[in-house]
Amino acid sequence: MAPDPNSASGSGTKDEASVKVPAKDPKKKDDKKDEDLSEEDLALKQQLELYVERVQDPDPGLQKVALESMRTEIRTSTSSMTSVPKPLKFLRPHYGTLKAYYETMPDSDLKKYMADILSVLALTMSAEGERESLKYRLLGSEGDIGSWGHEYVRNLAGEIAQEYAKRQTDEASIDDLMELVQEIVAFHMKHNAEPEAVDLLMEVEDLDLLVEHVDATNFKRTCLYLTSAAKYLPGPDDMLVLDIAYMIYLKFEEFPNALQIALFLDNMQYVKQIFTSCDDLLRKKQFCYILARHGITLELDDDMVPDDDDRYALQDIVNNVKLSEGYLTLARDIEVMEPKSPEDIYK
Amino acid sequence: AHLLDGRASAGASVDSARQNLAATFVNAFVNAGFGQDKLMTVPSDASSGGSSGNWLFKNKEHGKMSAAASLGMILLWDVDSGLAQIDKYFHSTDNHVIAGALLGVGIVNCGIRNDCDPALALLSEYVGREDACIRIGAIMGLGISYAGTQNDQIRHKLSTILNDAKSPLDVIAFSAISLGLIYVGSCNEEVAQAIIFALMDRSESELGEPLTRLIPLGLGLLYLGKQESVEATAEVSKTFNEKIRKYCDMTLLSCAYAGTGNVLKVQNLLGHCAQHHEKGEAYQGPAVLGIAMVAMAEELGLEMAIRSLEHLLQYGEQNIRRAVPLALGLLCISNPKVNVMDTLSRLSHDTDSEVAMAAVISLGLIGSGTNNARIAGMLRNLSSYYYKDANLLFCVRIAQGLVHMGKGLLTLNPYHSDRFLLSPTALAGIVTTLFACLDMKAVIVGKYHYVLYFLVLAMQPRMLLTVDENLKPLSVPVRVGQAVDVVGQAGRPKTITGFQTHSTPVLLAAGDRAELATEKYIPLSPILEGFVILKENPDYREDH
Repeated sequence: MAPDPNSASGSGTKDEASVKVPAKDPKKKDDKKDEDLSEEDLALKQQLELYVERVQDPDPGLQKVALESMRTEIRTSTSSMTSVPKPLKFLRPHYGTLKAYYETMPDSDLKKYMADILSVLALTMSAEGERESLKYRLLGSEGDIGSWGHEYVRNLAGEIAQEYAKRQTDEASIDDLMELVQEIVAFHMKHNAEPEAVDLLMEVEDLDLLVEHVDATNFKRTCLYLTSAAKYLPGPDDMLVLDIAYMIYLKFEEFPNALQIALFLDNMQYVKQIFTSCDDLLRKKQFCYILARHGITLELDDDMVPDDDDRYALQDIVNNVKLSEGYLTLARDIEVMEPKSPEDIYK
Repeated sequence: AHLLDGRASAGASVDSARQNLAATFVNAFVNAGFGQDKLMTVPSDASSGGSSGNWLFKNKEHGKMSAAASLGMILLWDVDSGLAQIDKYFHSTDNHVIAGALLGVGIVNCGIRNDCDPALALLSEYVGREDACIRIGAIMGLGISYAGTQNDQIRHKLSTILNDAKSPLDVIAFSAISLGLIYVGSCNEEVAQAIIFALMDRSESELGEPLTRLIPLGLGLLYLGKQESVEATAEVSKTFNEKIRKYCDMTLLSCAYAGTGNVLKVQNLLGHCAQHHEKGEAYQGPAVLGIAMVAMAEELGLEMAIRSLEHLLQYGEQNIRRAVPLALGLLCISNPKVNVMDTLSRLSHDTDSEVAMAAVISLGLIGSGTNNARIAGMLRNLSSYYYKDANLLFCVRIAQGLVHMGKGLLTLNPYHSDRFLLSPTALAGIVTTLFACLDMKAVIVGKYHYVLYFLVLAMQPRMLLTVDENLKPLSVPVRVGQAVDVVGQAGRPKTITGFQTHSTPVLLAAGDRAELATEKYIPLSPILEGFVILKENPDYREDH
């Protein structure tokens, strides 16, 4: 008899959310009744129950086969992420049993595989704040983290954040957590989930790791997220975040954006660095226009612009010498050159 | 309309010199930067006096100072032309005219740097003259033209004035402001010391004067946006005379956290505004402006601040109510939001005339350079409503001038580059004008109306002008529409919505963004604002 899924409400909000969705599905209204399950589902359920029994078998060979079969089932489940995959759903009632059995197992590869499976099951089963998914992951076999799915990785990231906070207060080591963080960040960045990677790194206070994971396809979104997040962070985090964004922009030679950040930070060293890193004279002219708009006084020196004539030309731009010309060009184009008298305005 | 005209002429009780002064400002703002107008640059008809002798002398006394200076605004950014045309005023026998000419020189050079330093060469000798007006004209001119440059020469000159016991109060106040502008955001200790001593040397009675309140502002500008760097100075300010102590504290706090969005400071300032006092206090005015200065950093904070300010109107003291319209004006500068427009419109009919005046000027500020028809209509109605009240009518005219500033081509918004960067000199100019407006009667409608010219620091064309590799204007099609926030969104979503296609140069309103509508060129900056250089796209092929 499958237990009443509604009674699982005690094990955390994640559970409740995932329980509600199947309840909406007309086909599986009341999972209490086995007869409502389709033929396939029934077969799957029974298969999984068999695996659970086999896993507790003293014969390691049988255990291995059962574990691997369970693993395959979970991994290949193709339902969407909005409803719990069927194998997970059917294995849920056995979570307690498996957990208890795990404790009795001797150390072996099998134990690690078991830990993996428990980690995935803990996704839906563990109580709020227990961080069991993380616990079993750290005990598990360290395989490719993404193979268990997006939701798993996200959940893990959330638990790491909590665990990190706890470890900080206990002043315990975080090295094992950081390894996991590396893997998760790599996964997120590869899968275009840059904000999530950035969020995780901010939680574990190690944004420097971000720089090695950005590449030409995702740096723009990453930096946009970083610069926008900076507005809402308390100091000194806001400056840190902007520094990282600056370095990324510099790395990918997006000089105008880097210049923007340098001006925001009011850091003249950075501004000079941008001029020295960029060789193209035309681009430097554009930088000068940006500086002129900002109203900043800057003396260009030999390092920034090696050639004298070029330097005079660029200094003119920074000094806003061309502003009047541009303004009048605009005025002529919009045809408002005619002088207006106050009477024209009052009417 | 003819009925209104009739009323206006019947209300001849309105001071005509005051009307002419208003017209001077309107003329200056509207024709700013164009180099030609109908009052000051008209070719001469009569013999002596030069071209603009006629209009100049329609103003009286200190009004002539603003009139002469208005020539500087009309010739804004055109240094050669400007200096040539203003030159004739230096030969005048009237001190006010000379003072105006000095100020005009400063205005023309605003934002333009030149190795020859023509402004410094012309203005520096007048700083030490006898006449207070001339000194103020020169000092203000130096402050405007050298804002942000941290020029040592000027520092020596102005510090000497500050610490000279014989300097009159208004000269000292303007020196402090100019030093604050020149060293804006630099946290320069020597300048800070000079200003602190100037404050400490003031007598009790002087501390009660309206202009004295500009001295702490000069101090505050040194720390504009520099957050904790102000703490040492803030400690010193706690030792000041109690008449000015809290005012100074609030000013320093507001300036230090301007443009940071720091929530704790906003709450702190709100807390100060919540205090009730028996007698009239002045220090809450800067606190209210401070709320706007701190919260304007990003959109959400801005909206929240607007709401908080409206709450302040309900239970606030007199000095708070006078500052709220100005704070609203700052938050939505050159960005006419309808809800703020309505609030200001309601306040412009307030029984307290200072509140009404502030609200009217703020209506001008929020619509500055936009030619917004709705605000223009409101102001027209206000002009007939207040036809008998000289002060309010003056404010209405100023506001009208602001709305049509640069004939709709300019903006006062200190933010640029996708509203990411804040120009410190621009903000300093606006803040100075607003602090001066905290005491309308003594300053704006009094004899120091020329402080309105500090707004020139924030004036910028609100355009996108594309140039080619030789920096010659190049016309290309662009799409201009509302900017869309795409932070955290997957893929490469569109960054503008509701767009229209135009050819450059185009005007950009607040909240607008532009993107190139052609593949033929590559912009050298991803942010399409102001001057943008376009490079030809080597991969582009004409295939249609």
